[in-house]
Formats: sequence, C-alpha cells, structure tokens
Amino acid sequence: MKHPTKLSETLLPAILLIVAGLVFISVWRLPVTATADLVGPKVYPGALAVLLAVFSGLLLIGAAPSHGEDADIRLPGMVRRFLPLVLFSAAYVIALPFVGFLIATTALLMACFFLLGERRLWLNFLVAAGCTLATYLLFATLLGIQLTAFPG
Amino acid sequence: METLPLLMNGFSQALTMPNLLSALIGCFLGTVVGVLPGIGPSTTVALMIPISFAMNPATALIMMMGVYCGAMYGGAITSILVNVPGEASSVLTAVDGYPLAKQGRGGVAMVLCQVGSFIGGTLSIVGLMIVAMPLAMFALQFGPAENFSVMFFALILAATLISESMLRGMTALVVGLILASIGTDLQTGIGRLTMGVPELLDGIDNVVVIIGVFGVGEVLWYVVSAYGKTASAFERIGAGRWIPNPKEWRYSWAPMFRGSLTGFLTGLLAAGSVLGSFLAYSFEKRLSKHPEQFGKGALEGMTACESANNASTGGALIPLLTLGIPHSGTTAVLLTVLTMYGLKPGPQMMIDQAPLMWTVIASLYIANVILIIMNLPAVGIFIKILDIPLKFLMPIILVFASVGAYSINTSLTDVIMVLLFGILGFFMRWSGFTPVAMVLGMVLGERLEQSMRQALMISSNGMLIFLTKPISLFFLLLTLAVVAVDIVTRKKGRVADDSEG
Repeated sequence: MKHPTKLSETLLPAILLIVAGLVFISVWRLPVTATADLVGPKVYPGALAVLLAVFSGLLLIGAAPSHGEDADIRLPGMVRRFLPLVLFSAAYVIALPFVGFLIATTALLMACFFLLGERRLWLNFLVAAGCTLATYLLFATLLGIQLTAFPG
Repeated sequence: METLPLLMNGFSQALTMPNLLSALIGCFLGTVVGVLPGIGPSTTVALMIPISFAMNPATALIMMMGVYCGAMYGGAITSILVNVPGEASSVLTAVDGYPLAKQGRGGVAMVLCQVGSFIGGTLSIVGLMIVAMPLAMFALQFGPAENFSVMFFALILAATLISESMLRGMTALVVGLILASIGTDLQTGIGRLTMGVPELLDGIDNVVVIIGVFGVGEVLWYVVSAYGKTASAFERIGAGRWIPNPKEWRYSWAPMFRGSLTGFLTGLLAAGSVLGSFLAYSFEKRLSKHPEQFGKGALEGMTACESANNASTGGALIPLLTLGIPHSGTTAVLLTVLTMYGLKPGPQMMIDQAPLMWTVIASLYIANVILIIMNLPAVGIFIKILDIPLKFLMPIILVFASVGAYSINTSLTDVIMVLLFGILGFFMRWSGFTPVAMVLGMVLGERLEQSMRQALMISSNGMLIFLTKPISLFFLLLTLAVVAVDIVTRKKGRVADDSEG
C-alpha cells in the first residue's frame, strides 16, 4: 500500500474524516426519545459516521489510489479563477436582495466574462444584459417565480 | 379480450379537439419544466389544479399526463447540453450525455435520447394496458423490508459499478446518505445534523444538490482547468451533426429496450424513476464490452437511462390507478386530482370508470407521439447552445443554475447551497470521487432509512426480517454477488495491468 502524497488524494478524505467526527458527536448529543422502532434517530446516522470515518481513514493510508482528473488543476488557476468566481457568486447572493435581480445578474455575468478573458466591455454588457432579461422573462414572467427585478 | 374496443373508444375520446389541444399544452409545458432545473413535474401538475376546475375530468387528466410525460422528455436536454440535470432521474443522462456534447456529438445524443424516451414511454403504456393488475398485485408484495433491500441493492450497484474504485464509490455514497439524514427525523420529530440552521429542518432538496454538484461544479472545473491554456479553450464546443449514424443506432437500440423494461418494472416501486435509471445504467455497464467508456460518453448508458426514466411513468401509474398508491410526488398530486373529481383509484375504478381511464391511457400514447414530433425538430434549435463561446456559456450556466435553485422554494438559502455543493462537486472530481454515487445516496437515503426502521418496527425477529422475506433475501444475495463479482473483476484488471506494465 503506497501512502498518498498528492494534495488531491489527501485533502478531501481528511475533511471527510473530520466531518465524520462532527456527525458522530452531533448525533450522540441528540436527546433520547422513546420510539416504536428498535433503531431510533441516532443509530442510522451514527453508523454512517463510523463508516465514513473508516472509509476516509482507508483512503488516507492509500487503500484506493485516485486516478482522478487532477492533472489540469494548478494553484495559479485556483487562485486566479476558482477563488474570484466563488467570491463573485457569494457577492451575487448577498447583493440580490439589495440591488434586485436585473442589476445583480448583469454585474455577475459581466464580471465572469471579464474573468474568462473577454475584455470588450460593451460586448460583455450587451450579452450580460440580454441573458439577464431573457432569464427574468422566462422565470418571472412566464413561470411566475418571484424574482425582484429592481432594488426595493 | 375487451381491451382493444376500450382502447379504440379511448382514442376516439382523446382525439377530440379540446383533448388534443389539452395534450399539446401539457406536453409543451412538461418539456419546458423538464428543461428548466428546479421546477419539477409535481409542482407543475399541482399548479394546474386550479386551472383544471374549469375542465372536464378527461381533459384535465390528459393535460396533466402530458406534463408528466413531457417533463421526462425535457430532462435530457439540459443534462446533455449544459450538464445541469433538472431531476435526479436525469443525472446519468448528464454523466454520458455531456461528454458526448463536448465531443461535438450533442445533437446525436439528444436525438437518441428523444427516441429512447419515446420507446420507453410507449412500451410502458403497453405494459400498463396488458399487465397492470398482476403487476400491481406483485408490487403489493413489496413491504418495508423488500423496499429496503431493493434500494440497498441499487445503492451498492451504483457505488461499485459507476466509481473508479469501490472504496471511493462507497465513501461518496455514505456522504450522500449522511446528507439525506439531515433534517427532521420523521418518526420522532427531532432535528438531526441541522447545526442550528432552521432552514435545514426540512432537509436539503435533492435538486439543489444535483444542480450544484453537476452544473456549478462543472463551471468551476472548466474555468480552473482551462486556466493558462490557449484562447481556443474558451471557444465554442460546436453543435456538430445531429443525425445518428448506423453504428450509433446499433449501439443504442438494445439498451433502449432493456432500459424500458427496467424502468417500467422499477416504476412500480418507490423512487421508481431514479432507481430505474441507475439500475438500467449499471446493467448496461455490466453488459458492455467497453465499460471504461461509461462516464466518458457511452451511448448505451445514456439511452438506457433515458428510456428507463420515461418507462417509469407507465410503471408508476399502475399502483396509482389500480391500487390508489402513489409512489412519487407527481403521482401523489395526480391522486389528489383524481379524488378531487370524485374518482376512487383502485381495482374497481378501471371497471366503473372504464371510458375515462381508457381515454387517459390513449392520451398517453398520443402524448408520446406529440412529444417526439415536437422535440425532434427542436434538437436543431437547442443544439445551437453549443455554438455559444464557452467564456459566455459557462457564466450563463452559473446564473441558470442559481435561478433554478432559487425557484424551488424561492429561497436564497438554496442558492447558497447550490454554490456550496458546486464547490464540493469540484473537489470530489479533483480527488477522483464520483458525485453520482453521492447523489443516489442523497435521493434514496431517506426512503432507505424509513424502510429499514418500518421493517424493524413490524419485525418480531429484529434484523432477521430482511433475511426471512424471500424477495428481500433475493436482493441482499444479489447485492453480495455484485460486490463479489466487482472485487474479482477489479483484481483481475489489476493483475492484467501489472503484467502489461
């Protein structure tokens, strides 16, 4: 058994091991209740947490080496693409109730287009505004989903 | 013996202008609903209840059946084109359909899916007509213990066959099962794993996970993996041809029929369409001469899965119409509609309300014909999406996924969840885990636990109930066999690799 050295092989199993511990503790703390079945609300998620801990541990010691697609993922790409995109999306969710769907979505799309290399701002604006309007018409007007178009 | 005259009478009713128009509207709405992530067929059928008050029962039911069938057809479109499955039953369509689109075969994939959907949908209605009653009685044999074993079998099959390694598959599956146990415990009312977040008391919506892991996860993956590459990495995929060649037809026709049978039979059970598509996919992978192609653009897996989820509609209608038991959200809403019109689903309804029931059955045939006629030419329009440069398309998918998630409960929490699951999907892919096993665990998890606990509740022998019921024992033994075969196959593969190396 070869110990994994790559971050892609150890990061997620390590996180899952921690998650398994948290799940187990959370389930353990549930109040004891009288139930008609033999199992109750604790045993099933508790058993799953134990299984997850065992599987993650096995992965950490290299029981199943990954043949994943990690070759294309590099640190500069993570810093310059992944992080900004996640931040833009988070900012979008925060901004939506304040500035409304049309402005927030147009801004998100323009920022993403720019991030992905399209530098012609007029084109970015036209495509972003067009897509936003089309999405709004489809979901809000046609399907009746409550989307606040403008601030307030 | 009386089936044919009754069916002919049904057709004569279903082909009247108001009913035909109603089927057309239902099919169109259903396709739109299937294409858009977030809004499922059950919600759409429920939204139509107020409109249906103004209609006679036959016309209303025909429209609703059109929505039900149309949603199943439409699910393939976004799965293939943008890797955003609108529903759990379309997840595996995306797994092979999207790689096909990236290879410039998106049009071919869509045409084959539409044909597969037609075959699955039509055969399931034939099944509904011929063997409805005996199959319904057989489905009654499935109590909690049997349901648990079938779901356990499907989960293990998916985790072992779809993943690159059994351990990684099992890990992803357990993550899905844990996610499914978040929320209020149905038997005690205790909130589990909610971390004090009130929104989590209702649990996490499956569709949110699916949209996040597949849609947003793909966007993140693409954006990072294309970093530092030439400008062509951000150009369009290209629509390519959309007429399948003889070889592609040859690869697809048998999986379509096998998938239809699997989907029809699993449609009788709880979570039938999801079970059907996963089982059909797993069987095809097991039967295939090139299983390594699955997940990279295998036509067999995609068409089998798509036929199965359409065939499940006919299967799901059997327990509804003959026993009054709904197994899915959509059939539960349909049950409400039937009772609203004073109809009592059960064995007697097929006799007492024969003209109405046969009109509905005939309308299902008509709906499938309408859908294939409507959707095949639309492939040429939908496929144009792939002509959009990726630097524009990927952010648009991000917005589409976010709005789709928001539309489920009109809640921003779901949008945040979609983003979080997108990040999880990215890291799973990076680490060589398959999100498919996680999604299946998530979709079937709650039912699995409930079936297990219900079985234990009625059992006088504790866990032995799973071994003393013949159907349950059969599926547990089948699970053992699958695991054993998988271990042996992988071991053989490793030995072969080592000797070649």
